[in-house]
Amino acid sequence: MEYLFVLAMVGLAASMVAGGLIVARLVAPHKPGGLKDIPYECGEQPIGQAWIQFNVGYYLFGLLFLVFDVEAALMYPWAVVFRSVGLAGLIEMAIFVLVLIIGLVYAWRKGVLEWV
Amino acid sequence: MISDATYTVMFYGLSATVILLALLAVNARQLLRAALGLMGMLALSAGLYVMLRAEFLAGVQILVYVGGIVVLIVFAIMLTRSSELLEDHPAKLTRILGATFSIMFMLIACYALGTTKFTESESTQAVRDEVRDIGLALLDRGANGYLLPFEAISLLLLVAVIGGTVVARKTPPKHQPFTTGGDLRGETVAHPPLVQDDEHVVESKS
Repeated sequence: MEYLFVLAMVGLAASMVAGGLIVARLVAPHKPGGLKDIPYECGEQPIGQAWIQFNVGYYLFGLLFLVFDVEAALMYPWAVVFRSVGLAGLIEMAIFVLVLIIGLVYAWRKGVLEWV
Repeated sequence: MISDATYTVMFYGLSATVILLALLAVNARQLLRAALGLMGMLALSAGLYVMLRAEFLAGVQILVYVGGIVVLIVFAIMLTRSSELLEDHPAKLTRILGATFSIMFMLIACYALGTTKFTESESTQAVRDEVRDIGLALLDRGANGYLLPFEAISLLLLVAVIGGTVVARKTPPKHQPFTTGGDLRGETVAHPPLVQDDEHVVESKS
């Protein structure tokens, strides 16, 4: 079964992460406190807390991404049989994509795609 | 081919990890840890689908659930400002009710699984080219085809786009496009403009 390689890779990756953590736990000196506790901000002293409210634009981008993610997942089986279904399949998929483009145009007109 | 014993060991190992991650997702007090547990759980259930030879389903699981929905959940968590939401301390009544309904659901699921008679599929070769079959069935206009549900999915996604846009932002004022929508009183002055001067940029980033 060819997926055994995937499983082996997952195991290898997990053991590399766990190995790094375990070796650090065994070897590194343990001195917490002070400046080590502040959030890392490229060497700058951070102002305020690490927990900030994110722009709602991220959420809307994520939502749009998810919709077109599902679209891509559904296009994949169509792409596999593209040659055998021919023009009829192309038209069927075109209708599918057109309906989604209406949503994209709506979001665009609403200014979702504009960044601050 | 791998032996049945290896297969069984793999199945139980994967299942146990999935259950552990699901427990982490439910029990973690930190919401982001719970989201991480959910992500691992969904990713490993894709492994279970692969073991069932449902490769397309596994791919969709990774693509949509792990790559999309968990990211959306994490964004939703990060959108909330209140730090009370970061740690979850449910009331006792909520816990008892939740546990009761979970156990009831588990019992019903066990009963349903126990009483269903599963028949073994006769042709194990038929699942070889699975994605091809899905594609043909999706675009088939005949009585056994799924063309109408397929096109209905696009309408469902359209509703999701429009609904999400409408809920997340109503009609914002021109000078302030990214807020909850500018509907709240005094919102136009609540946040300093992001690109006015350097001081404000530093403040709003950190």
